[in-house]
Amino acid sequence: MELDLSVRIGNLVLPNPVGVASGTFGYGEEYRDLVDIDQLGALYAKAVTLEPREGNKPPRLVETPQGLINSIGLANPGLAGFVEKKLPYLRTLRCPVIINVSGSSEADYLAVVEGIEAAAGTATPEARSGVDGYEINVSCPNVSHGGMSFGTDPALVERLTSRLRRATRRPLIVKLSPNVTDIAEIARAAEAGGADAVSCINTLVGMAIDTERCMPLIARGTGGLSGPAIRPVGVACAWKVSRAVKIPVIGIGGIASAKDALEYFLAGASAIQVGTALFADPRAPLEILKGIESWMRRKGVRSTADIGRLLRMEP
Amino acid sequence: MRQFDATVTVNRDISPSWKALGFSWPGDLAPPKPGQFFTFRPAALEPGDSGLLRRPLAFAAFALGEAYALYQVRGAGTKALAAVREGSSLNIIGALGNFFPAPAQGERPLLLGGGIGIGPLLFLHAELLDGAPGKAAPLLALGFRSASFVPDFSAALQIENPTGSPGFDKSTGSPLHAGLRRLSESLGAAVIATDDGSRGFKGTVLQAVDAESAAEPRGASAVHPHWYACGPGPMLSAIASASKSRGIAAHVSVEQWMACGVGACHGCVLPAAGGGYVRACADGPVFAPESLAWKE
Repeated sequence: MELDLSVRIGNLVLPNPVGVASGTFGYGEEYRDLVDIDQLGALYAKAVTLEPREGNKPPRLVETPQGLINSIGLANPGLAGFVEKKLPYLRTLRCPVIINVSGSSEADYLAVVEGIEAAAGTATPEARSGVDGYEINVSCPNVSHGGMSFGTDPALVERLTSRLRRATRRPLIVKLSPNVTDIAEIARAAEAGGADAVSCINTLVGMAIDTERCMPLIARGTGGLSGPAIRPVGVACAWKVSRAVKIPVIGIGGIASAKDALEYFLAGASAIQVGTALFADPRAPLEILKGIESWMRRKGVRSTADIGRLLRMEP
Repeated sequence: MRQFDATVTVNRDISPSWKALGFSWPGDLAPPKPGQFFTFRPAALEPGDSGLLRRPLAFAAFALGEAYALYQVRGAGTKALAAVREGSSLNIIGALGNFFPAPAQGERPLLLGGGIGIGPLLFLHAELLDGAPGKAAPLLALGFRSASFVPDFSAALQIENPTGSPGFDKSTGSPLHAGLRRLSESLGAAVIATDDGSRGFKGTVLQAVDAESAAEPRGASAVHPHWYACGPGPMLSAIASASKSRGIAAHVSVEQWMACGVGACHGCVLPAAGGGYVRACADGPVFAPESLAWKE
């Protein structure tokens, strides 16, 4: 059976639905010796902000049951540093590259997208642009300004998305925070603003405390919880969001195996991202892709787009 | 750097608190250097267990296609590692990070290891002896809380070599687990310091090195020292401040919680001297102490 694994996001076609999540894969080059990057459905690069950011005070990581709390704080080389030092490598890749964009203000987000647009130019058959789309990070829980404070307000999300929409023809994916009362409302705002897709979920706000030293295990107090612990939350969000919007939903959160990914597809996601599982095994994304293909053959499902229709609420 | 499934050739107790791990190293992959590390993920640690992240360990020896590390069972990761049987497979990513730079011409390497951090110094000691005949001999000093924390390779080597004659693999003619022997020889050559004086010098490893240097003939101490260190934070901090006040060249290997191990996630950072942060995994783990911001 010939499988159709492709996923359409706006005017972009992902060759397969398995990507690597922003923040866990750097700008690709770090993993070049360990992962056949060109086989990925998409590489979601680490967040780029207008100015370089050093990130948060360490410790930035702590493992929790089935989870990982991080508080990196969007450490990145800034727009100019990204264009100079990171974009050249991304241009050498054959897989779609989605640049995650963050900022403290609407103007920041816009400046980053405009700056990358100017630097990337248009792809030609000879030369890839290194930028195939943007993931708008309105859901980072680890910064004081911007980040999640945008993503919890539907009016801000719609206005930001529509301004960015005018700055690029490349696909815009809005990355949603689970730290809201109604994630479907935020997703509808992104869609109304002109987003081509939404990705969900970013990390959940979490905290762990050392009971001997009586101090938080993350210097900033709280961080973002990822890993299998949050998968049921992510699957539920993907399910709610996919019923609220017509644009594709990209599922993220605790995916470590094909079975985990299939939960998201059955919940209504069109594609997925693998993040924390990469830290345990960089081979995970391509193993997951293989597992999805074999499940589809076993179930007689030809296209990933058809998987969601198999979900039944009654026995 | 590569991810591969290694065959565990050695995984045994060295003393009540220490275990030695040895595993096969791909013949077409550059051998690890002292200071570098690898991450492992025992097969038992599947999604569903509480441990998610790979665990980093520093290389302690490399010999005849086998890499070695010393470890102590502390948490879920090392507990699972301790359960891995010799002959079974272990998923490895390595070699990761930078390594100790060679001493400059005319410098005498003084190697200071503390507790859990002794592995890279034992490795560096063996490599310096190999690589530099005629150069200033390295001095290795290792510090422990007390005598009971000092590793002892004799039992592990005994298993290897019950008759007392050199053990050889009949099929290849190679000495068996030569890395264990190298570790044992370097340990035998080390000045031992213990906090409680229950073995060797009573005091810190830095005090032991100073005492040892003072006792040496003038010729040896006239050579410029170059400190190489790995161990607990307070020890490295003391070495950083002493190297600065005495104007001694130094390199320290740091330890930090890490997630990716390859520089992608920025989780394992340390404050840098000029502001900002450096990544322990990709910018280190070996740093000149003056490039880091130390807590006063």
